[in-house]
Amino acid sequence: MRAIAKQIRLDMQRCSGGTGGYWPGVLLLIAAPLAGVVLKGVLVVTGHNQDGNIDLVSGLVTGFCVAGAAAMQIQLFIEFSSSATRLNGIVPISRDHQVLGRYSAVMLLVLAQCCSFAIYLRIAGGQPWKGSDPWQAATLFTLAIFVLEMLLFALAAPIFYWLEPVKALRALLVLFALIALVGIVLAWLPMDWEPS
Amino acid sequence: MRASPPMTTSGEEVDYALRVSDLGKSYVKADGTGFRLHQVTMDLPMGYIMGLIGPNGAGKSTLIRLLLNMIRRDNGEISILGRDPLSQEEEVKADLGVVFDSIYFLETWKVKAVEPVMAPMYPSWNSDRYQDYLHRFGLQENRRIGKLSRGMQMKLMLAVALSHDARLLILDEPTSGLDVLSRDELMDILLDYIGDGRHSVLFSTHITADLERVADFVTYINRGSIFYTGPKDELLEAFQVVRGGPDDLARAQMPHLMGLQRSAIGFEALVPTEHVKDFLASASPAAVELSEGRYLVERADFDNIIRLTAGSPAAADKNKEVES
Repeated sequence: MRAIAKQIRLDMQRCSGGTGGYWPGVLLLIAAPLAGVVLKGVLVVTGHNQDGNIDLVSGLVTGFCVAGAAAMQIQLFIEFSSSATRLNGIVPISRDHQVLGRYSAVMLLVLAQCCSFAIYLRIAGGQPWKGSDPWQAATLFTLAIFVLEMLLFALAAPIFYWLEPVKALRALLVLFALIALVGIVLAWLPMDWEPS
Repeated sequence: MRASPPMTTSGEEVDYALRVSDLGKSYVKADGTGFRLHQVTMDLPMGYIMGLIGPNGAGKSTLIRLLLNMIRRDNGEISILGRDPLSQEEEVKADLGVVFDSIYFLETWKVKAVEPVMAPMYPSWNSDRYQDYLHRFGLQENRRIGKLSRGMQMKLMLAVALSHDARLLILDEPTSGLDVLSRDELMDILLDYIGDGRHSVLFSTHITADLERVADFVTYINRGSIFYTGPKDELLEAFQVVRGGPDDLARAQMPHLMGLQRSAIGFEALVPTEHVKDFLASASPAAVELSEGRYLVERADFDNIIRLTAGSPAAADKNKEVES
């Protein structure tokens, strides 16, 4: 357990961009939803809280969250394309514990991001499905983001372990394109996605 | 450079810092060619410095990556500080200090980020010692690692390696890109480091002058096989370099040499010391005395040995099995 904790700490520090601290990376991931809450407050106070503006803020927050998830995968590219990846071969953490620790660290980061997103949805009221129970919608939506980000990472991490960094990045971009394609196809299907 | 007895640390007696036997690894390189590290066997007793030498692509870095479990070995055994680095990886690595030829921290990090990252990794991390090394090496904590010179990056890795009482230091080309003063400083640090007899150093280098100064043992890898491993002086005494004119090398002399390089102005041959007399006697006409002036015979240094054996027929024979 101690070795896994060491790896989690190391990855948190890596995500924090070399400050040596653990929290800047977490703050970066939860910044968008929290900023969304503040922005909603400003809109309410200034009387600009019309539907269009709220939707705009929700779009921005969601966009930043998706970008955060993508950045996590890009972080892998940065690490694996530089000699910094050799730090993994030096630290007294076995390979198995490194893998477990890395997945745990990403899970914690994504969880923090999703929790802040859920808080945003509830407080700022940016409801993903209009007409549904707000709690249910927020929970389902954040759960979906959590599963999606974890799946994405679970696919991306082995790609970066197995392939050279440039090939891995290409494979990742293909993966992103496939996900977008699936989204487009689903959007075109003649189905009513709104819950009755 | 010390002949120290095996020492005990934490109630643990260790005779050898490193033991490798019949280590093997095959893989296909990025350019599509194959490489095979074959039957590597070597021992580094506690309290000594071993140099790892060989031409580019000989397998030095592959061997170091195998020692660090950065790649999986196909066969063979490795024992580091009396432990198996596969089953006891974390214990082994807690006692290892590593310096690579390029920095292993993200270049966007600042120097001050290194200690908070590395200190929790090692139970025996000594913050005062680390700060002393930063000060001694002139490393400023607010500098970005990517902005440091290659020499300063090496010193940063060395400061980390020396600050957790690593029993074995593994250095992969640490002196490449360093000026002579920095190299001298590093060699002094290494000599000081093994001075108590409970630390050892394995370092690969192309700059063999460093080895001649500090190494007690040498392992020479050529084309994936061990050409020699043992005391440095034995290797240096084992060969002589014979130089002669373009027409002074007879066919009968060829079996006595280990390596050969010809040019328009003559030849240079690496001859095992015990074969020098036979080599001279096989000349046409026989040269019994060196004083005849036809041949110039000198003690070989590491560069001679590497240069003359890296592509030589005799060395190729030795490695034929590997190549096949």
